[in-house]
Amino acid sequence: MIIAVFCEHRGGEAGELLSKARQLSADGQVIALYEERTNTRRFAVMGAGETILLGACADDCAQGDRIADALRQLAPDAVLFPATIRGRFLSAWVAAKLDTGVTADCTGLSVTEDGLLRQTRTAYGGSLTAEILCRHHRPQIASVRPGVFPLPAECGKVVPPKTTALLYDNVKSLLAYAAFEPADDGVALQQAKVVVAGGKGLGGAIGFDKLFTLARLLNGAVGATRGAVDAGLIPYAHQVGQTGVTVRPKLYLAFGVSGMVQHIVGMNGSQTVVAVNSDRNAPIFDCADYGIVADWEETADSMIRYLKERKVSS
Amino acid sequence: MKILICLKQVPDTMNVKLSGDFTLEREDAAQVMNLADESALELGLALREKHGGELTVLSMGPPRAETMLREALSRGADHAVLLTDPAFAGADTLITAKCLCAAARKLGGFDLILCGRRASDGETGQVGPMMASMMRMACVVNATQAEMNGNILTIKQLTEDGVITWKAALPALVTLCEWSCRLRLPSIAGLHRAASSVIVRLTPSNIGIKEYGIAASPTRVVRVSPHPLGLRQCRKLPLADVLAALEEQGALP
Repeated sequence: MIIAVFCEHRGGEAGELLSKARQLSADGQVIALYEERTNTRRFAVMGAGETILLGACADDCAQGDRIADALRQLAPDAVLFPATIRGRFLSAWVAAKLDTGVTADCTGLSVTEDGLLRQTRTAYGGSLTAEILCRHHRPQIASVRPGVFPLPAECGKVVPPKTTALLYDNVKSLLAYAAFEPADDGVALQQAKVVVAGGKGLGGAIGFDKLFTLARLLNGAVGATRGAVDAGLIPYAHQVGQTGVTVRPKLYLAFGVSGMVQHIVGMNGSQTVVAVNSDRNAPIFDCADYGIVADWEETADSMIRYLKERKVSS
Repeated sequence: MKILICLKQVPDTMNVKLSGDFTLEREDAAQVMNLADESALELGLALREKHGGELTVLSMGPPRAETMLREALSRGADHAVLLTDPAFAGADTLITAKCLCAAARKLGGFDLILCGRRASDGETGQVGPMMASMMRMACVVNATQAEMNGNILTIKQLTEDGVITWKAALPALVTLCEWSCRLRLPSIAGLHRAASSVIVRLTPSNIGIKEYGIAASPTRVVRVSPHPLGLRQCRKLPLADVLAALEEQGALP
């Protein structure tokens, strides 16, 4: 099975997809498509046998056209995209161009007995798991949720792979990139290893200032419930849950979060959950590994003190 | 300016209860307009107010989706169209996008198409960008805002690590995040119009499409199983003990 993997930009996050592709393809035919010049030896180490340089493009629509063109030439059996906002957009754009199916945000991939890509994903706020096949259309396209598959243990060959740079003439531009404004806490919520989240109960933006302090000490990002965002305590970009972002950090600290299901589905994949709430019957405790029944503010203050002292003594 | 809003009727999971095994009870849920689509509709209404033109709402679904389309009319949409026929059922995202595109072409000449960033049931977020790809329109997904100056649309896109501003000439397709624009209440005139309007129903032959429904869909769901949200065994401890436990398992960086 020939599997192409779209590696965003220089492919910094591509390791898990490449090594998964290598594992799925019995004959090890894995092609890395990347956008900006980089040392391709890395792709080989992660599992790619061949690399294709697409070239950078500031217009995501035009880049989608280029990827579709490249895939027409390569004719792979399957294509994997990272399920980032951009990766998902490109996977849909490309699938429409190639008139094939795409499964969004997969959390599992395997090969069936008859050699099809079995794609597993959740839906309905994570309450259902579905297995999806694309039997007759090619390529079979999936976007894969970041952080689901382990990083490769240096599995591939270490000689530089065959690299082809593609040239494009008539890709029509549709979008102009005008500006970028980085997230306000400097840490991308979805990639953060630690998320410090607050609910409406924090009462006032000052409450969230404490969470930002805590997040900085933990090298993490700040999340929030819909209630807190709706009350204007923090911008929508921080909202975790069904109508916000899904996070899967190693550690999730919930302060004054009651635990409505719409929030839970966005953080339930966290490795360890600590909930702080003064209401010992708050539903959040059912979704936490550790519960602290106490005032959120006192707990946050003590935690900040603890972490500062720990930093000094280390 | 001609604006098209694509709407989907979904189970009301915002107000859904949890069942005993901690899954969402979808069967009892009421049918509502997908939340992100409300933002798309409101943005469309606001742009029409400012720049003139007309606004059409389009959905594919069973006849009961008419309720949602009437609601859109009551909030200010000019026309409502429903793709409905048993043959449409079971379409995956590619075929849904094809049917919506065929309807959009039949209705003709839209400058701007707005959708929700994803539906709360399927959560794929693919239909919007697929439509744009098929119709060769500029497309920005996950937007929180869009403004128009002349023929140029300026769009703010929320990404994982910040906000990108894009500029695109019309025609364009934009998908909106939930909560981006708060949908206005129905007006009295709107309620009257909603009650008296005829909702145009289109079938596959009306839009001249040969690929529809589950039979034409490249992807097929072969197995569905409940995925309980997973209760955890919570140990309620004082802060010092929790910190000690986190240190022990190396959870603190």
